[in-house]
Amino acid sequence: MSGHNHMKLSFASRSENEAFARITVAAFVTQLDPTMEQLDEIKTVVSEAVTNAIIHGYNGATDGVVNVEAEIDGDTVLISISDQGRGIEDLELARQPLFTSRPELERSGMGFTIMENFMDEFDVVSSPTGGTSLKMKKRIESKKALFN
Amino acid sequence: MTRFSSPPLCRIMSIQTTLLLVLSEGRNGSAIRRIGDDTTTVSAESLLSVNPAQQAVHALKGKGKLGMSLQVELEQHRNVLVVRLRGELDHHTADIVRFKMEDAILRGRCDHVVLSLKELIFMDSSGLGVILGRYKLVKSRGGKMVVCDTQASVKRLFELSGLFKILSFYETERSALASLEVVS
Repeated sequence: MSGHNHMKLSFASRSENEAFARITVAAFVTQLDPTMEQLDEIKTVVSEAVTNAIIHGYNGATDGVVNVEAEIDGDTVLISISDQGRGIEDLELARQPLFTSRPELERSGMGFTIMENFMDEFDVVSSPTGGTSLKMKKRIESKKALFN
Repeated sequence: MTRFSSPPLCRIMSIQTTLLLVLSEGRNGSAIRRIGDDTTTVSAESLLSVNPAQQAVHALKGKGKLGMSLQVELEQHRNVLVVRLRGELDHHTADIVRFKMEDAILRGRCDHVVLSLKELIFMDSSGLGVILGRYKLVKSRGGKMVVCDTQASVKRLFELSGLFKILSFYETERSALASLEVVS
């Protein structure tokens, strides 16, 4: 498939919606005919970002809003996930493997590491009061292309 | 406003080293008890006594009914607790795993844990967190925790996080159990 397509989701910052978000984005990406591995990577990355928004952005409050946008441009998928909650104070520290600002919640501190490893490009913008916005990009080589 | 962009660099080596350091504080050498020779199968419910953990589990079960995407099955073989996870382990479902495992372990009827993940089809870093937490608990009580039957995507996350280095992995539940019978 080539061309351009896009979608947008906006939902309450409830943990139930983590599965909803990753399954929806994965369903959208299937039109690029990804491998199971690529689909798993995208689901994991969306889950990490949405969980971060809920736990860190909104501190577990369920009245926040999480926005997820996905865009297909040729064979590349762009995913943006943003919240309007509390931002990340120190981005360099946040992306250190195993670092977590919430050890009492048994966070593994691996979210950023996973997102960086599973996507081709990864960009974070955050401000203390303006929320956090993640933009990620991944090229999907379709199975058809691999078999030909 | 802070901004950060990163190239897709893989820093697995440093992650593993840090993780090993983080985990090396566990206590070793406590005596391991043997509780009878029979193999008992207990349902998750029967492992719950009247305590705060029970109430929490019931509350969570109620909450999960709408979209319960994870099932936890607990089974005891001598002093080994077998935990089978089915479905998707994320931040939403991590609490139920935490409470159910914690309750079963703290009731003191098992020393070791086999985490059987054949039907776990999704896991993210929240799952790693809850597994790491239970690993520390079992280790602090002198027990061992092993993992078996992982699907490729779940295994990959264990590898990426370095947990692969501190937990033993087995192909089947049978081989995982066999490894622990040697231990006990």
